[in-house]
Amino acid sequence: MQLFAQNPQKGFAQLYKTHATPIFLYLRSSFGFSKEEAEDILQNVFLPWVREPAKFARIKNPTAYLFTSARNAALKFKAEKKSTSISIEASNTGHSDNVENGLIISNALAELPTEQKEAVVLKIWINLTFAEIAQLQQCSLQTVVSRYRYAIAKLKELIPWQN
Amino acid sequence: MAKLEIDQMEKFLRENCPKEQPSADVYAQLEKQAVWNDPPKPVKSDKPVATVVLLAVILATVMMFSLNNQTEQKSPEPAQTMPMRQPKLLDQIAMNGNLPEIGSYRFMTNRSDDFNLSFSAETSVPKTLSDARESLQSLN
Repeated sequence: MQLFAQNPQKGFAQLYKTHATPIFLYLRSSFGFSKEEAEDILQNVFLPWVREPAKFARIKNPTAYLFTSARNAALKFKAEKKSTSISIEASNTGHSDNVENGLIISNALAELPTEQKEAVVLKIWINLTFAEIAQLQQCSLQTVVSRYRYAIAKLKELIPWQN
Repeated sequence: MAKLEIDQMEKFLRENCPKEQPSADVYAQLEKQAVWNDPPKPVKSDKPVATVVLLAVILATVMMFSLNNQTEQKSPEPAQTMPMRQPKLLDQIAMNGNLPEIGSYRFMTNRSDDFNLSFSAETSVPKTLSDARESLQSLN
């Protein structure tokens, strides 16, 4: 954040490089947004940073701030669109390495409640701690751990193991 | 086909992390809208406004001077017209032989007794305390 305060242009480039892909992944996998929708939200999340950089120069934890902004924007977007049941297709989720596994995971995740999906995506794919997820979801640490355990257990049922 | 254990599930999910990235257009759009890439807006100069205000003040001053000159030129005329009334009054007096019996004058002349507030010479007001005492003794 020191770089952002000293040189907003370079600081923003670094900030975007570090956070854009995880936030994009979070939006796509947790909320099931299409690529275009996720990109629109991503742009809205970062836009204030480039319009008023001085306002954001003092933020100590940009990761928490950006994920909270993304979550709020995503929930608002979903409420406006009232599209609570968005199915994710494997071709849209970016599982380029193994499309089949990607399809299985996407379909399984689609069966979970949003909070449980968030817990799994943020913990396993974005490497946030349970404490950070709890802060983001505005709930207790125990609640997040429970959500994560329930989600993994449900995925264990939904995803068959193939040797 | 067996069910995955929790640890295996976490490993499986981790291995199949989506690799998709947002398109470069998002960053390009943000850079385009960034405050550091905004062309500086032309600074509004105060000079034209100040010039207009100055001209307006000068015009107003000139107008006021010209108006003053006009009024000064016209001012002798009322001085000439004012005395014109006097001959009329004098003519009227000359015709009636007295002041014109108008308004309060006529009222006062008809009812002069009612307005005679002068004290008689006999009723003298004592000026000092001893005078008052003497006048009381004389009355008794």
